[in-house]
Amino acid sequence: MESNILGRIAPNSTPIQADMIAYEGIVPKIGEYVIIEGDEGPLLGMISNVVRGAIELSRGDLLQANYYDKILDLLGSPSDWSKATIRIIGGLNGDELSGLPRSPPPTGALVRRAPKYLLSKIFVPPNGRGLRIGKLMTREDVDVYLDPNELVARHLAILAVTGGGKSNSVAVILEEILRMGGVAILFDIHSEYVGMSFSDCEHCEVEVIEPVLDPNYLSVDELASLLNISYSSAAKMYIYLKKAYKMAKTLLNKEVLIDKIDKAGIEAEKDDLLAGIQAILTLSLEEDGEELIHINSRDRDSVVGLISRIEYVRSSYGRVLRPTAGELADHLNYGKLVIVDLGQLGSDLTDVVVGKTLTTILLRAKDKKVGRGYETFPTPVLAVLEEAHTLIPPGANTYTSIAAASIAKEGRKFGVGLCLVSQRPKKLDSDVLSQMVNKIILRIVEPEDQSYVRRATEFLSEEMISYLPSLNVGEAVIVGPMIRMPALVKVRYFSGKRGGESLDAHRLWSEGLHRRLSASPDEYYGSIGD
Amino acid sequence: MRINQRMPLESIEEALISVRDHLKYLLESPSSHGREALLKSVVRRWVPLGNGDYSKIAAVDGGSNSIYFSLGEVLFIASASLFMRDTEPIRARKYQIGVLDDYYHQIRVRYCRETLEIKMLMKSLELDPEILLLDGSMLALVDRGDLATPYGYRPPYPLREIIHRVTNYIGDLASGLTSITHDLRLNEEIDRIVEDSLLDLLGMEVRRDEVRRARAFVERYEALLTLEKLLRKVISLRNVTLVGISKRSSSRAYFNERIPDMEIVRRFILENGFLEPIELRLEFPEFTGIESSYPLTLTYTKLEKGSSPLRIEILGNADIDLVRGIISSLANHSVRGYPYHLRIVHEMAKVGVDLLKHFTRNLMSPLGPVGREFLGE
Repeated sequence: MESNILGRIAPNSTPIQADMIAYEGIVPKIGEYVIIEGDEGPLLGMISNVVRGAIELSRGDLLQANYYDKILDLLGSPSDWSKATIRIIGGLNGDELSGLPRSPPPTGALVRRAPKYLLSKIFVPPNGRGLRIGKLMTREDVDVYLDPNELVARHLAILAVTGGGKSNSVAVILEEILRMGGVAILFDIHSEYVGMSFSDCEHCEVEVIEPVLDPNYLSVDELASLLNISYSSAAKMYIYLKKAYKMAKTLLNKEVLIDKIDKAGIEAEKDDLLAGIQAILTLSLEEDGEELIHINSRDRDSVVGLISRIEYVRSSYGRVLRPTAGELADHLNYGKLVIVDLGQLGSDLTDVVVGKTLTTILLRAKDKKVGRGYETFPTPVLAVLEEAHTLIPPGANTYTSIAAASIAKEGRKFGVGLCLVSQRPKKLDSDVLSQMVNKIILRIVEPEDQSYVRRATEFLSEEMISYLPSLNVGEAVIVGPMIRMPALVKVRYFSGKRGGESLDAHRLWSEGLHRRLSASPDEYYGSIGD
Repeated sequence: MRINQRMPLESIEEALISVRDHLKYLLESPSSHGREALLKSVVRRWVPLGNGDYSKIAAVDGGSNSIYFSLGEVLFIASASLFMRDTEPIRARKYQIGVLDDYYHQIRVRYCRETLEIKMLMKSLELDPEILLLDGSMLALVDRGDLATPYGYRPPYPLREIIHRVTNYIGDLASGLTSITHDLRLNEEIDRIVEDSLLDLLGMEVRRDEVRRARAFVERYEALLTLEKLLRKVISLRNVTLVGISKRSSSRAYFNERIPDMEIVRRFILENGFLEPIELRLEFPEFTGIESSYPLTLTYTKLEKGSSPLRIEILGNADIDLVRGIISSLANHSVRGYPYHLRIVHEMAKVGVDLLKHFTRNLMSPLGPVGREFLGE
């Protein structure tokens, strides 16, 4: 018998699903692609479930293993049988995949393993240029490529438990994008990627930058967010911030803002808008001061509170707030990955930095597209957001979630793609997640996370969901228009250098213990500060 | 009184209530006094198992089924299968397919199956087994009630003469692996010989059912002749023991009580073991002309604690140590109290009615109407 023949179709098949009885000695594998001899031509299917048994051991009354011993002692090996459920993907017109058949495959139809040439053709984008993500889990001779156009246009979510292989998947995708000359920015929440580099790629460049915000580029709403003020929760503060912001901009344009800053006795750089706002409010509050904006006597407490918040932000975030520092988006370029190291930032500031940067990227891409400037702004660009659930929680209007939602809706038109990476999908805003039409789903154990992902994913079947808890590290279900059909893929190992690998506790402890034992007590306790 | 009220329209409950007391009497255990005595007797005769040293155990079983082929005719398939574990599992199976008149067909199919089984047992001797297992009772094979017709049990003509004429035509009936008297290729010729014999013996043509009955005796003769050949061969070999195992038996030969021996063992004994064996004799029916008789050893056993009892017949006079050795060896290979060798051959020999329908539908012309279609069957 031909080695690729697996079995024959059992009765009760439908146009979308069929059962296959395997030949003796054949045990089909979940995720394996098969060709079924249909009435109207061959059909492509994927094995979604396999049941296995032994004829002699199938009796329900064999409730002790010693019965199995006795039976196996006589028989040597039992008569194995296997039955597989095949999900039909579509008809095959030559090597081309077409829609679902209108009639079920005939009972008794022969089922073969799909040949390599066919799968290799199917898992390459139509134009032949793709991102090599890995290999089919059940067919390690078949490379799987993602369509970069669809990836950027329809966005991507990479979801898995900690240690499931998210960071490696991100690194592989970024590497492939850069090899193509692509543009990417990675918001590195935990400083996992700061040591990242790509091997064998001369043009690939990685720039790790500290998060900086030029307050002069911030809108009044961005400033309000930074100060944790909103119109709904602190209307007076918001109103006076808006007035002071407007005045500061006017004075800045007249290049006299520094005079006000000096007059208010505030230490700041020449064109520091935030310091200018503080100065305007301070001077206007003083009874004998200069009334740059009118402050109602009933609102003095609110203005004092606003000044306090500005002082707090300036002192706490001074390292990040740098007037004239420019914007993170300025660093983007072709063949380059910008890693924004957010490891030292609190969540509020991270939200503003990420949100501001995403908004800026989208605005610049828009301007470029409609010819309003930024002609050299590099697009298409992929923005990757690690730990996305911390910045885009369900129902909350964080600055990042608003920016991400905008990109999810409009990014396609302007060449801005978004990639969200998360280990807690259910803590991600469902609207945003559902707009990440492409998904790389690695191991997910939590049932609520699984069902959440299922609801937010167009192409994901129940069978695919059932694989998620049993996937090994680096094994993923990939769905979405960036791949021709849903697939179980073993993501390749990133060949360059990256951070984020799981720590090797045993090795670190052993090395530490060795150091302690080989050093004198004085040296050792001296080195760790006693 | 309205006509409906004069007609009986009984419910099943009413029918049951009317015979309840009689049923209770028939089903109840022996009286408390008799029960105690019987219990003591059973416990006293119950022997624990030992170590079984026999490993080369061969088992044979048969299967059969029939289906209406056309009005008045049935198609049947009978089979016999063999399993033995030597250095590797050895399996064998033989099928016989035939067509019979509807009349008497069930008992005639059984004769065919028994012939196949006995011939397979004979074949299995080539494997040099230490124990040869037969599914069923040797006594039941020979001691079955004869065929009854409107003429009674005893036919008004010498059967041996008919058998003699058939064997003269065919030769050795005990040869081969299938039933010669059921061979489709010999069907018409055997019918002719039987009809001619009856005409000669009775001086008149007989009814068709009587021809079938005489034919059935010939077919049974083949099974018994083959059995006698097997018993003789096994006795002569000495290094093999033929053991018949019955899952069900209504025999009262051991305790001679109102309830069957097997039921007594089931009710009174929990532990594994066996009853002290007794001796019986196996004698062939007179019509066969086989005059030899053979000693049999009879016991009942439970191969596992709490399992259902089995009736065990051993060919020859077996002492208690031999019986213990055989039964303990069977216990070593029992699953849920039944020797697994027999389970294997049972599965191998099974002929399901679905298989038969599938077979007739796909390999032969579609089945004709048989009258059951009116009932939706």
